[in-house]
Amino acid sequence: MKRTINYTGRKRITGKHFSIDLNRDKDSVKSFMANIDLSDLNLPAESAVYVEAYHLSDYQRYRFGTVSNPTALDETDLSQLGYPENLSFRIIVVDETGIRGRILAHATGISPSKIGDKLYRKESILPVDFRDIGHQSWAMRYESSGEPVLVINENLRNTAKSDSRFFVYVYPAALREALIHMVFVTKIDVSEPEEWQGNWLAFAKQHVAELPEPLNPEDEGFDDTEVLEWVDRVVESFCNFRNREWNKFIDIEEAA
Amino acid sequence: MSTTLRVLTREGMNKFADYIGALRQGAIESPPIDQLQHGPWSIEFIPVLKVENNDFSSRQALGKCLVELFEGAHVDRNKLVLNIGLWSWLALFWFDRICPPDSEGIRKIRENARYICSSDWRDYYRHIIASSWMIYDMHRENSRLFLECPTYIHNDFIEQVASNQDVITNKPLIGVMDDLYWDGSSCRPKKNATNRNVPGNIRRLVSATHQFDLTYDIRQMSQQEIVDILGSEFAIWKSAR
Repeated sequence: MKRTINYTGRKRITGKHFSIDLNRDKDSVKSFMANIDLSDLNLPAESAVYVEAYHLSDYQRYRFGTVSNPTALDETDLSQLGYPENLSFRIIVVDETGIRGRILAHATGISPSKIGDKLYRKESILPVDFRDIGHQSWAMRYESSGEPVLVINENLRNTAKSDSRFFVYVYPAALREALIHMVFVTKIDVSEPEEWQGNWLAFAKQHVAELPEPLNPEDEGFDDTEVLEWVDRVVESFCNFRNREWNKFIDIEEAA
Repeated sequence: MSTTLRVLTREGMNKFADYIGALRQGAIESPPIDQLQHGPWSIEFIPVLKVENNDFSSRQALGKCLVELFEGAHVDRNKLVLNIGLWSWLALFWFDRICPPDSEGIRKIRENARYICSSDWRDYYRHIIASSWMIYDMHRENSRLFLECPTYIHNDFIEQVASNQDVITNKPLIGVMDDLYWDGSSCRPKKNATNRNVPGNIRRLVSATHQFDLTYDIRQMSQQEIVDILGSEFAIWKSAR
């Protein structure tokens, strides 16, 4: 198997190093809070920490002090961003002692975990975005990091939330597409996955304990048939575990 | 002639799509702006604003007009960015500018995304009006590489750069592009800047940026610092600045 080499020497910031929560006033997102602890990464204490919020054409960077004291130096106001509901975040650590800033560690594609005091996405690996998408009932969108988002027609908001048939029809297909996209399009370094990829792998392992090896199409020995069969098994297991939705679905079908 | 700014509803956008479909089939009709000026096809934009049926010299002039209009009225970006009915109404209102008829009244119809705005980025940046506003709003005078063209043109700079969210939102990098590929003497992009067979073309710069982004904090670098790390394939563009 071909070894994956991290030529840049960047360290991976993982979920255990941070939490990012959104603050909401009434119905709109106003700001965010980030708790960051990078102490176990052996990074230079004076390296600068930044948190970036981004979505579509929106981008904003916030200074978060240094590795030794990662606290917000700027107002973490998000209200000026065009569409703060579906923001993703990135954390980078930058060595600014040289001529130009060098990135020492990073995490990208971070979904915020809370809005106000309510658990918002509850560790969801597949954020949902209700949008006007014409006559399509649903579609997948991939952020610049490759993270998948399930886009559901805004006219189907109630159906999506309350009708188990929607879940049964849509989620297996969406899950399958997201896994295939992650492996074949975004590509994945299993030894150092992006934050969102790590969450997807953890999810897949809950259903099928062993990952295909290798999982990167660029690695020697990659077997696309094996990978597609693995995707099938993950989706099948996911469906098998959703008894509640399936039973409701059957009840509705039998009553029809 | 000034008109009150409106927002097309889903029904209004469907009607607009029907009109575009009819043009594609060879119909010679004027844009149905009067028919769609009331419910259920459109609603008034709040705050109430007036727009002129201007003959813009370029997409940059169009983008600048919109930025000044919304900034002057203190309209929040979150009322604009994904207001696809607003951008679609403006495309309808200025349809003769962004899809002009020839002497026989025939229009060259492009993909619907140029006229009817989509919330999906893969189509959003192709919308003539929304992208003119967005790019000018972000980059002001440095937007000329993308927008200094007739109002009916979607040029290769937009297609290659604006399609990539990480790149189009990077202000110093867009400044570098303007520096390397804009010909100040002729007031137009330099020849071959988008030619994929020429070393250091804009596609290569986008590609190189993705590599640098793994190592350097590019967003915090100055334009000159970015130029300094560009390899030899960009030499002809650097020397011609």
